[in-house]
Amino acid sequence: MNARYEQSEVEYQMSRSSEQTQCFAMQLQIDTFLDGDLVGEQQLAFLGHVAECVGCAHELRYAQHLYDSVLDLPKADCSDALVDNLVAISSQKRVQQHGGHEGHEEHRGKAGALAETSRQPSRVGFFAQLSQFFRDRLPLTIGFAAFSTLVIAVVIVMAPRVDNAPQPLVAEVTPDLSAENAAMIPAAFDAAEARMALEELNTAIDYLNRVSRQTEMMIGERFVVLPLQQSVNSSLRRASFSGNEDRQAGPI
Amino acid sequence: MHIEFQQAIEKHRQRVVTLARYRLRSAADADDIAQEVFVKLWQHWPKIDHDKQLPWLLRVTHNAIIDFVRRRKTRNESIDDAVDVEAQAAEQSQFEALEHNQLTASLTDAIRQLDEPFRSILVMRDVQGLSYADIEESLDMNASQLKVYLHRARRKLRADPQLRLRFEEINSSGDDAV
Repeated sequence: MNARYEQSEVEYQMSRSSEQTQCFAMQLQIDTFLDGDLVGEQQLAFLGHVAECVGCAHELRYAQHLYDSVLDLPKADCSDALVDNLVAISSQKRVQQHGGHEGHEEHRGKAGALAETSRQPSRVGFFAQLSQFFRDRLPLTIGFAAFSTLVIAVVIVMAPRVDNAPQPLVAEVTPDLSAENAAMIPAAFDAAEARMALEELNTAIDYLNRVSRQTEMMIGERFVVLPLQQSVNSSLRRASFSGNEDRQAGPI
Repeated sequence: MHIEFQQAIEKHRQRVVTLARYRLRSAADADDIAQEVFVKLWQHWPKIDHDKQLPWLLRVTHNAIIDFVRRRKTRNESIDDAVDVEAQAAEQSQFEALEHNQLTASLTDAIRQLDEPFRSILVMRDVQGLSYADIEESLDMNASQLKVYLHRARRKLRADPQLRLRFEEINSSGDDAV
């Protein structure tokens, strides 16, 4: 008696589970049915199930009602003032293709400002971003460049002069101009003027050579020797702070 | 070009604003989005494929809404909500008047609470009646993905307890009347 009851209970649960699965499958097809994409045997099976199943019929009615309500939802529209503003923007000046917005300043409201700062639909290239970065920070960039130039100039002027300057790379004494060479000089300059000009040129080149050598030394000292020394010193300092007192603590 | 731009605004303004309006409570915010989108349209006018103008606009609108919401989240949300409520109270547009219908109001709220891309797809397809091709283009999806998302969006909408409650109320009042 008990076994028969259990068997019928299992059958009941199985049939119920099967019905639930069928209902779930049918309810998944509601949207397809409402879109009109359910045809043929599938449509017949769906309608047949809905005719028999109260729950699915209720669900279909709800979905249909909601679907109709969504279709009837109002469409929003913007104000005419906004459209007038846009038309004014477009009629005033053509926007430059790459970031020129000068003509729009007076027409821009809150949204106009947003339009410029917001994301572009296409990805901006690296160089465009770089140029935009420098454009945005132009005063800062100019200030930094001026300051750097000033620092370099001060360092060059204050640097100790090297006394044991090597031989200049150009001739110090220009040989006398021969008669043939003198004949080649235009009449506007005489030989003495040309000689003086060449001597000045030699002096200038010599000075440039010296400056160049000093700069090389300075850069080498600043960017190679000093960092190396600092690196070694800091390594030694770390080693000394680690508690091992036997190690050498000072610089090399 | 200027005339064509004006025509494009007239043609698409409703679609752009509707898409924004079903995400943002404030009509002023939706107007801001629309202005931003149309300014971008003007800026990119020479580069746009005008056969695909609508998908381009929808895509830009979709991105602009996401940006807007992201920016707003970074601000103090409580202050912002208060502003929204005030703005909402002040607006007397047709949209708000229609929202007085309770089911419509619940439906609009439920749509606003959907996640992306479900909301955009539902608004574009069911509210605005746009073609699958335009939606696919604007959201960069294929047809099968789009249909799956649309069906899922509708199921999510049906699962909203407020909506179901409203429907049951309407249903029971209809039964009573019979």
